[in-house]
Order: sequence, then structure tokens, then C-alpha cells
Amino acid sequence: MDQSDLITAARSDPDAFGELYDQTAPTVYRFAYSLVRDHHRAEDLVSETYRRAIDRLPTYQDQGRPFQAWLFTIARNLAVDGARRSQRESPLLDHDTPDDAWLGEALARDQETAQVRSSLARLSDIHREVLILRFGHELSCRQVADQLGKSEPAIKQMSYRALMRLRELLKEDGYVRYA
Amino acid sequence: MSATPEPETEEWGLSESERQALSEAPSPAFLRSSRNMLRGRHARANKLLGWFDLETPVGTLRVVHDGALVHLVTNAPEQFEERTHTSFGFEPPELGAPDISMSMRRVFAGEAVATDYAYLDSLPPFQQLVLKATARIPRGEVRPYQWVAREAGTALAVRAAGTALGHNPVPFLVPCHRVVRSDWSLGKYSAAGGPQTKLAVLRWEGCNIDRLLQAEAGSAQVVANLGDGSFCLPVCPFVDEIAPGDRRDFRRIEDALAAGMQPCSHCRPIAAA
Repeated sequence: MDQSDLITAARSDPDAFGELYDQTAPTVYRFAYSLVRDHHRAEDLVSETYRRAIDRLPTYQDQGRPFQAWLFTIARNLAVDGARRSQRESPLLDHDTPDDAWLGEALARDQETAQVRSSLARLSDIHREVLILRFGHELSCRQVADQLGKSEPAIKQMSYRALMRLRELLKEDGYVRYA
Repeated sequence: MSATPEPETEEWGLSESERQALSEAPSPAFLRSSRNMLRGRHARANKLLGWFDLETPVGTLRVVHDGALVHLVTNAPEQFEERTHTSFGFEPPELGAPDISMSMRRVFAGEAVATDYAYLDSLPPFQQLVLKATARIPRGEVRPYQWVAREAGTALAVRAAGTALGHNPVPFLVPCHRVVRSDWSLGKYSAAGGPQTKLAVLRWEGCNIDRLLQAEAGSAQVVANLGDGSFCLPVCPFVDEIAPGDRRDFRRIEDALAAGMQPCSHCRPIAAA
């Protein structure tokens, strides 16, 4: 099923919607994070974006624009509204890239990061979770342990193994630094 | 666990792009829970809910589901139209779901966790925490409201925990019937039949009602086993294993602690350290 069929099916079929979510959510999250620079707020923003998307899907029209850009626009509008309400500084992308071009620009800007991202996607869920929470979201071992219901030493050990595994994968995938 | 030599984090030498990729990535657990929440919401928005009746030893339960998760359980079919209009804005059609009835039977048998099959994401966060804590009470056992409030991370909100349980959209599945008052009397029950239904469900689950009645008749807050130096809630199944001469009742948890007793790790009479 190509993406436009999936979008049509996702209007009425929760499984198709779930599939569409799986395909797009990681990127929408990155976009959301680039707007708000905070993981809690990025999570709220992503959930809110898809909530609104559910309401608007029935009237969505494919205008040759990437579907993700449609989601980005929803996210940006929500972020701007949220900032206005709480009188925070209005979130903007680093250099005001239009939503439609954000994905392409972000990719071109950082090939190496994209490489890490695709190797990261091949890690097991639990290894990915530990690495992201510990080194990405900068939680302590204790906090990660509490969140995942494991012991602190287990998390320490697991982060080390996960990082070693990630580097093996990076090597396999021809990542320049470990080639 | 084998001792893998582990250098300190700073020495792990994350490259700039590794750091970058990790710092903007979503947590996989967030993606999963957000997906569940949205799927349920999608089903509601598109009116893709249905119901079936499930026969149980405590009567017929009417179950509203979206094909994956349970949104509502009621033992009062005569109020079904009103309940569904209030909760969803429409009355779903009859729609069997063999997988879901199988999962529910597994939850009733204590072989699966209720919160994996219940759609709770439309509820306020505090209520979700209370229901998740309640789902951790083992089949055949009971815990006081205070225990649930504490396990939900808000020890002082006992009354609010009671209200959250009273509005449990999926009773029987998320076992709010396993929560009793701190004087060990049965307390209220929001499903049709009230406390009588509550008692019937507990009996069906094999809960030791005599132990509960004894706890209610006694004045002990906790019961210690002098044999191994542990103390339990009086409704803990391990209380039955105390040798007659080794049992000592304490009116207050503080007294049990002062006597050098250790809390039971099964019934957790005090918060885990």
C-alpha cells in the first residue's frame, strides 16, 4: 500500500491509522523537538498533533505536498498557540525553513546523524530506550531504572551493552567514523 | 550478572552525530503508549466501537471495545444506552470480538494484566495512575484505598483515589472490587448490585473472605510473624502461614517497625524503599 492509499484508509480504519503513525511519528517527533527543545513538551506536542490529525483527516486533500509536511504544519501551529498562551518565546526552527522543506534540509545538513538514526532503528527496543533516555534525554541511571522498572546496575550494564551494539551496527552500516 | 568492565560515561566518547541522533529521538515507550491512546481515540471518533456480552459466574458483562482495547464494562445492560451516550455520544452496535473475550478471561484468571487490554487514555492522568495501581493487586486479594493511593504515587489523596475508582469505566476488568476500606470493611461498589456484587466477585476470585472478616473484626493495622520477623497487612495470604505462637498484631505500623519487623514484600504494607 503506498502512502496515499494508506492515508485514505486511515480515515476510517484504526489499523491503517496506526501504520501511518508508525511511519511518520519518529520524524514528527524530531520536528516537534526542534520547535520546543524539551522532551516532555515534544511528547505532548506530538500526541496533540495526531489528535488534531484524526479530526482533520476526513477533510485532508492531497495537494502534492508531502503528508509529513501537513503534520509539521499542525505541530507548528499548536506550538505557536501554546507559546502564546503561556507567553513563552514563540518557537521557530533554527533558520526558518518552510515546513515542506524541513525534512530535506535537515537531511542534507546532517548526513552523519541520519546514519546514526538508521542504525539506531535496528537496535532492540529496550537497548534503544536505554540509550535515548540516558544519553539523549540525559536522565540518570536511577531515573531510567525507575522508568523502566529495572535496577540501577542493570541499567548501567545495559547502557554499555547497548552502546557497544549500536557501534557494531554503525560499523556494519558503513558509518564513516567506525569504518 | 557478569561483570562487564564499564568505563565512566564521559569516557564512552559519544561522537557529535551519535549525541545529536539520540538527543532528538523519541522514547520508544512514548511512541507505543501514544499510539495506543490515539488508536482508541481514532476508533471513538470514527464510531468504530462495538459491544458483546460476556458470561461470567457473577453475571453477564456488557463489554464495549474497539477491536483491540476495552473501553467500557457494565453489568447493568438496562443503563447501556444512557452510559454509552454519556461516554461516547452514541450507542455502539453489537460486535463480537473473540480475541478480546479470550484476553478478558485470561485477565480474570490472573494470567494477564488488565491494563494491557483497557483503554484508559481518555481518563485524567491521576485516575489512570490509580487504575494502574489497582490492576497490580493480585487476584484473590484485597488492598485498602490508602495502599492504592500510595502505589499511585499520591499517598495523601486517599479520597481522590476512592473517587477515581468509583468512576472506573472498566470495572471487573480493572479490579476496583479488590479495594476495601482501611478498617477492612468492604466499602462501596459502583457496579450494579453494590457491595453484594463486590463480595460475589471476590468469592469468584477465590479471595479468603474469612480472613477479610477477621481483619475487620480485629483492630490490627498489621500482623507480624515473629518466626521470620516480617509484618503483613492482615489480609495478606502470608498471614495464614504464621504459626499460631508466632503471630503478633500491631495497631500501628510504626509499632511493628519499632519492634524491628520488616515489611512483607508481597503485600507491601509500607512504601518500597
